[in-house]
Amino acid sequence: MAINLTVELFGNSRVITGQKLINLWFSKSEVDISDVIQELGQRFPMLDGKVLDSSTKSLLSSYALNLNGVGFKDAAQIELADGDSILILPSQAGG
Amino acid sequence: MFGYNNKVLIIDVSSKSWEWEDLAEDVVRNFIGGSGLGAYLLYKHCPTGVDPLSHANPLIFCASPLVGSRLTTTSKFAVVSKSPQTGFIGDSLSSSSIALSIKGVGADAVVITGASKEWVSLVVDKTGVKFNDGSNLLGTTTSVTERSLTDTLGRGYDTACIGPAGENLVRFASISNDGGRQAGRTGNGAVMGSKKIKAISFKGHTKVPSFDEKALSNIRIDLNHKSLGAATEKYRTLGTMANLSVFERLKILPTGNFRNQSNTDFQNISGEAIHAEEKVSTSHCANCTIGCEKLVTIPNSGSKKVRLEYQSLFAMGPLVGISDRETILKSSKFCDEAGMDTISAGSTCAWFMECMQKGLIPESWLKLLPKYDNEEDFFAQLLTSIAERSGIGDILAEGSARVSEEIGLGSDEFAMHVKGLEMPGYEPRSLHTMALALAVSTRGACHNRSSAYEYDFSSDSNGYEQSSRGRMVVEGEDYSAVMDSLIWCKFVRRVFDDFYDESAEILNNITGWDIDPNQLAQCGERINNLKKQFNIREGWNRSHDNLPKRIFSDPLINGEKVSSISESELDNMIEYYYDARGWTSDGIIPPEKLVSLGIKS
Repeated sequence: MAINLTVELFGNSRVITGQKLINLWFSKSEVDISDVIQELGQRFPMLDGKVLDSSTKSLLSSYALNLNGVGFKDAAQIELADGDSILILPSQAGG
Repeated sequence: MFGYNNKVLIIDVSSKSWEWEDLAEDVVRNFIGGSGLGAYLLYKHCPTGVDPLSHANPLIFCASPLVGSRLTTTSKFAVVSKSPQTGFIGDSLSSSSIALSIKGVGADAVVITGASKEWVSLVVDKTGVKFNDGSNLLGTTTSVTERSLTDTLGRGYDTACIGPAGENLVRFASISNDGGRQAGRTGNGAVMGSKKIKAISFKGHTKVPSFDEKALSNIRIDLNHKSLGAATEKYRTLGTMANLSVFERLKILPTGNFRNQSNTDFQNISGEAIHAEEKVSTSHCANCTIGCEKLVTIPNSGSKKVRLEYQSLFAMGPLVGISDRETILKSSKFCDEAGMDTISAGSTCAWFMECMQKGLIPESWLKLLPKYDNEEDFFAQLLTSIAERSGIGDILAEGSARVSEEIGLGSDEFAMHVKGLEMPGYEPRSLHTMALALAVSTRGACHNRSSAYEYDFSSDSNGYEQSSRGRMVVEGEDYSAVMDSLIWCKFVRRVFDDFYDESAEILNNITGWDIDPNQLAQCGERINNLKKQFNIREGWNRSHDNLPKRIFSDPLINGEKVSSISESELDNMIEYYYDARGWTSDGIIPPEKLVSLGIKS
């Protein structure tokens, strides 16, 4: 079984890549956030060190994760399912 | 005393006289500076029950112990008075070189009392205070006023001034300084206008020494380095404009006067789109490493630039249902030049436009409306008429709270303000900690005195109990009060590993004190209690801590997801908040609490 995911980029991650939405397809049945970040890092190496850390397969602390526009999540809390949207947002809320 | 001048400059513009008053060490140990010292001086100098636009209401400018330390983001000052919008404490912060000049004239604070018969332009320097004729500056915009005074006075003078809105006593007029930075909220510009002070210019001549300059120097280097890290990335890249696309996606961007029925796509005005498609440059306040200010060149304007941030983008755009980028940029620029708070101006217009759609405008007012071509043009003309107090603008200049009371017909239920201060761009039906903070804030619907949104944006936010939110708002308010009194810019807050610990160390290095982190935290509690006590003295009661009716009656429906908050939910949270504060269930501060905080003996 494959999993299709959408990644929505905000803030500098969108500026760097020039992309709002990225569709990802995984040919396995279980995918976690580290898989998503690894894939993003491979497609957009310029995100490394600015948005994500490819060596740890995690986001930098300046970014936060949100699943399907509903709630903010720590990476470990997120269980991904086919069709999910992962929002990568600036973590600073002020302004 | 290191870090302070130990002096307050008292200026009476009625008699055109001035004097220096000693500032006791125990006062600044208790209230620090900035917003806290301003609250103390307001309580002391503002007679009970005065009309905010009368001569008796003091207008107070406060520096802080960190001003002059050259630590990043600390060139800030507070402006405090009794607000003509709320009738309660009104305080707003602004930044840059003028903060250094206020302290440089030898003052920790400047208290202006009385009212002049003729328009004056005040000048404060080493020779004292001059009461120059200000009539030649009348009608000029904030940037023209500032440039004109720089030309007249020469280099080294920094000016705070009002624009036409302040002259015309628009209740949400702002005070502008350092090329368009604004002490924006609570209407201090109208208080300045009521005293017939068009501008006040400062030229510093002294520098206050710090206790341990070497230690401070090392901290400065470390903070500068940290301030360019992940903790400030958003502010450095897109500025706060970055909020718009995020808030729209999360359905927490208020649109159409908080009706949120807009089908408009606001992606065109997102920070990302503006950054990609317009000419945008970065500007820094004095001694700031972050550079959150984004100057956007306005299309078709002869290369005019506007200092754009999220709240102005929200208030000039989605709040009034406008998505045309050029209109938003021009409207924001207009408000800055006229000296008007964008949030209150946009919100009052949004409310009025809804009244028009619902046919609630009194017939006698219809003839006061400007002629217009389309919605964008109508909005622009409303803003102009408010700043000039011409036509319908003379009515709207009173703000949505007062005008909705006058119209009646249920229009007060969608006048989106708390205590008379219009609401910022955070959706309380989804952000419940923020909802509580907006309801209980001493200065009305305020997004800057609690940092409560931080809790709503955390990964734990869905699991919060109402009691937790009460405690969180208390913690956020006290923490913010310390930030606003030292004064740090809020955007540097995540740079600290332990805010109170590091700030106490810095304050001790500046002053030579031995204050510990817990004592510093208690200063925040004391300051918030004093602000509340001022409000109680001025007639606050439990009913003032509330949200507009629309927030309760109109849930947000997005597919299967319904976001709402009921009056009883808010009431419960308010009770928990009062309890966490140690106040009575009616929100009154018990006498023993005032004594324990040193507010009353």
